[in-house]
Amino acid sequence: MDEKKVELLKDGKRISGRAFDELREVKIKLGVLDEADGSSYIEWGNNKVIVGVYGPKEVIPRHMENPSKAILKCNYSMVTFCSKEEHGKMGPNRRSVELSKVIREALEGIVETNLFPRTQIEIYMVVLEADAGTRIASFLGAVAALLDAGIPIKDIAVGIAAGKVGGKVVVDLDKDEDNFGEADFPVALTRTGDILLLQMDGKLTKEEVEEALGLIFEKSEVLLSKLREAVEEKYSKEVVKELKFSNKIIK
Amino acid sequence: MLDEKTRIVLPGDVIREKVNRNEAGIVREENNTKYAMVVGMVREGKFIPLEHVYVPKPGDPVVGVVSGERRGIGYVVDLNTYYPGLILSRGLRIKLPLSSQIFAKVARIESGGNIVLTDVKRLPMGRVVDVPAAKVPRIIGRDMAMLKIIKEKTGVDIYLGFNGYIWLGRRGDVAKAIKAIKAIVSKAHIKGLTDEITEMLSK
Amino acid sequence: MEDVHKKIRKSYVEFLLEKNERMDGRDFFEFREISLEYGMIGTAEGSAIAKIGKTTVIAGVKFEISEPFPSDPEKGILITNAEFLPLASESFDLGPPTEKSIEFSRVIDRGIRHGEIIPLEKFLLDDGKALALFLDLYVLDYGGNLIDTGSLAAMAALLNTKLPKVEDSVILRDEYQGPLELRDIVVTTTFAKIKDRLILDPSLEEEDAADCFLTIGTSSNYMVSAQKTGSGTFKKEEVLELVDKAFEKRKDLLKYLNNIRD
Repeated sequence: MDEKKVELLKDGKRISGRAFDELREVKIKLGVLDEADGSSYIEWGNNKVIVGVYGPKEVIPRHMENPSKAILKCNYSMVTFCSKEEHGKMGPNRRSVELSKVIREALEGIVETNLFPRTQIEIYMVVLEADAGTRIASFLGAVAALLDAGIPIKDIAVGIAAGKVGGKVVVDLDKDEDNFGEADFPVALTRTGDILLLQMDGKLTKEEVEEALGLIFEKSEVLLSKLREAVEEKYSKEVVKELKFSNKIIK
Repeated sequence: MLDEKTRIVLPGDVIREKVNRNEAGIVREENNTKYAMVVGMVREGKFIPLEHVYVPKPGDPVVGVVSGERRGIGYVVDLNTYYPGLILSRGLRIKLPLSSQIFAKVARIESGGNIVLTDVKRLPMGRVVDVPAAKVPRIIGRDMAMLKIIKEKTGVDIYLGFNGYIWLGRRGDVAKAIKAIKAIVSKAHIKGLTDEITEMLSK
Repeated sequence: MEDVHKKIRKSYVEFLLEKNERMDGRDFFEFREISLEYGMIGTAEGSAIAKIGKTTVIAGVKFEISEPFPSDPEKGILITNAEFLPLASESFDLGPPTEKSIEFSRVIDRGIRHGEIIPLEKFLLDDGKALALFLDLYVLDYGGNLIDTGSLAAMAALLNTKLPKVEDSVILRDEYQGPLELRDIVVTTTFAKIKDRLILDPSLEEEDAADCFLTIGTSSNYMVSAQKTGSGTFKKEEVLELVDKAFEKRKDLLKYLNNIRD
């Protein structure tokens, strides 16, 4: 943990002004890339993630195929300029390898892999700008891209990173809260309440865990509606694949 | 355009309506309840998937491109799907050099992952374009109405596969036919499309 | 909507070129539709995304403190890198940079460096350290002609870049000295040769049909880089014709870049 002590609560409120149970603004767009079989673009607070999926397709090399189901190949990566403080290195690192695995295992809980034995489905999540909660935003992007591709899934799923700041349990940590708070607790779940992804670091009492899970389950409704809205938006008119950013200058 | 009478369905939603086509990869059943597995819409009491993966089944008409040969067995065919197509040499009377374009029917899917084809017809050299599998029914239209209009108005010969490959002959206004197909793909969910395409092609 | 097989695509592209036509109806020396957005990544010191046809490349700029190269102790550093993301195409795999992605980043870097558009000598800091400018490019969608799209994104990102303040050899990430000083604008124009016909801005299908390519980087008055790729050959006259065309077609790209610094 950092030596610098940062006050995350002011007069009992979050510095950002958000309520303890308030999510940042989330925008979801389905269908943003041309080559990929399915794609999505997510803006969550200042997080920006783009996702592309391919498949099901033949496995190469063939000996890696699973005779009873499709294998998921997930890759989470960050561009070198996604952090304010520094220039990152290109290529995978230990953190991105772990997150790729954790997200893959979460998606394996919903993708109907037994419908496509001896195939693979590839999911590429690229973080263009990071502001805490990138794995959760990437997971959301992956679900949206699977919907865009028409790859069958059991149920839609979303995630929220809860945490603890200034002794209070909150949802959707921003960067300072993630860096200087007392706990980080990302969870992803289906509509029926099956938990697909769960990680935690920091210090939480059992009561706090229960409180956090309660908030996560409750607030996931907000994200589920946003996902439905994004699908409705895709079909509200002619389907056009384009990638558009907020707060930018267009030419 | 999506109207009040149309409802968007997401995976995990319960479906009580009639499902138009083969449900593999589209709808699943659990405890006598049907659930969607892909994005779709419910319109006029029917559930129509908007995007789905092509799941090959016996009897499906398909368009393919010969992509290789397996000595002693037959020809490998690219069918735009996750298993290769296979044309057995035994009993085959036509020649199929690399890149030949064919129209055939799916005979069976082998457990090893081959889609065995039958009733193979070799097509003259044309263009083969691909469309998402879910849009194929819209390009055919009710009683082949949409496909007929495209063929009539452009003079292009067209073979359509359930696998999403479309073969277009070189004669006729191919560019116009492709423009119409692109429009159908991006507007498949919109009502009144047949009229719109007819108008587009009449210009 | 392209033909699904290389051989079919190639024969169709050639068939059309014989009639002096291109698949998408363009003139031989016409660019596809171009769009540019910039400044959209808040964490970068400069960013831009360029699209030519369906090809999309995003570029980002970050500064770090570094040591100058011993061979050039009076200058700061420019480092250009690229990644062909697997989500951009079925033909891109995960893994270390391929020869194509390395060539892509080196060719784009070459024009910027030899055009001397960034005053690297001004990146020197008091204590002998220097600023390093990292220019990183990511291909998001591959529809043909990556180099011109990448160059456009790179140049737009540089035009969008703000130089951060430096205090005691530490970069102050939220305070800026002003826009990055740039002496000129460099762009590339890539031509494909298909059966003795020369065309600008090949699409994916045209790339598959081409015998070879010539990419020419230009600044206002000079050719600053050139790269022939592919195994076909060019005649001297063809090269000279394309150098002329490069200066002419440069203007088509400049109009998207000129207003970034208004």
